Amino acid sequence: MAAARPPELADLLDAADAAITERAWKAFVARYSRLLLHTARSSGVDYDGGMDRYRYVLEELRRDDFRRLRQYAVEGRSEFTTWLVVVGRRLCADFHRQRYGRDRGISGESESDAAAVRRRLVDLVASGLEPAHLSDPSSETPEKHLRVAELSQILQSVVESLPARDRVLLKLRFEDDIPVREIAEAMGFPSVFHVYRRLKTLLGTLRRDLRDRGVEGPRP
Amino acid sequence: MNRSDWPDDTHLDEDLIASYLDGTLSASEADDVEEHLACCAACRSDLAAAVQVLRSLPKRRRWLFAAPVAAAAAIAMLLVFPSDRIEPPSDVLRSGETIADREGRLTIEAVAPAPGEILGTDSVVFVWHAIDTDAAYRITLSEENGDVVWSASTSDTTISLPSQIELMPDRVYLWYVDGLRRDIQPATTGVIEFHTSP
Repeated sequence: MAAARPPELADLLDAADAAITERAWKAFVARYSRLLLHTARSSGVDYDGGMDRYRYVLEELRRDDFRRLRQYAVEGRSEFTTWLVVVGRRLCADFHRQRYGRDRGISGESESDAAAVRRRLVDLVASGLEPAHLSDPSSETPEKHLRVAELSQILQSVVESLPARDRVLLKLRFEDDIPVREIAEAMGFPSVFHVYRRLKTLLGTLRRDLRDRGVEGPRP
Repeated sequence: MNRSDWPDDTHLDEDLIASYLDGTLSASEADDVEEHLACCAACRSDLAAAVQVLRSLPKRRRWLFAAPVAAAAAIAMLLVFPSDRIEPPSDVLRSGETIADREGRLTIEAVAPAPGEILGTDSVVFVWHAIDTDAAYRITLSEENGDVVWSASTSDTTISLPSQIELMPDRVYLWYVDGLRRDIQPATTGVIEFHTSP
């Protein structure tokens, strides 16, 4: 069942003529401009681009006789403001891709940054298997690189065997580098401590599973 | 909705992501969404970005919903660890990282015009608190639709709207200040709204 439409949205979509539509659009913008501006400004590392993104979001919401807004009115089950933030964020990403291409993410994070974050999960799990830390520069050898690659591969297959919710948690934290507080909100954990507790349990599970597969540590 | 309904190159629609965030999906729908999220970095990014925006807004519905549970958890932790700060397990934080480090962008405290203040159109003075002794600031004033009316750079924490910039009566205007500290840390007031009198 679709969620109840906020009055500004209902007035806009039910407007009978162009003049009423224009008035309703102004009222809609007045009601949601702060939310959309905040979304636009939070969606990039360049603050000055925030206004460009905001204008783009407004244009896209108006496009094709408010097609996106009408879609929410028919099918939307979430709260309108939550939906509007998700849509606004995606439109900002579209704007970014149109202007800058697909080379870098909207947050400015590069592929090497992402790889470095991913490496942390391997480090964390391996550091519990034996005292020597993987990133210790004094122990960098070709054999160790090979061993780390193998460990990473085995770890990936162990992670893939976990329930989807646990995989999402691990990926948000160790691949996407999302702060724990935001993970708690995104996944509906009651507090950050519940996230930390679950992550600690999962790291323990991963270490045990690796041991079960004969992996005792990062050394060859 | 079923996981098998999604081709590899499609993403969760906005309403599913928003409903997942609101906690209004059925258990089976939430499972399906999580199956997709586990494999789709783009949708995880959308989810995380939406949370980042929502949690920086003044009110969050989810916190209201979760407040009793969170409060109970906090009280339980205080009973167990009555005198020390509660810290997360060390192996789920980066070395040297604290929760506070991850809270996001620094805030510049805006003084005037206050949110929702009604002003005349003839003279407007913008005031905010300093973030550093040698910080640089950029102030932007825009109309409600995002059209920039005026923008200026300054190292001061007070600036008057130049007389040649005319504000219209009975309008909503938005202003914000972005700052840069000596250590290149960015900061912002966030967007503040004020009105002009009719």
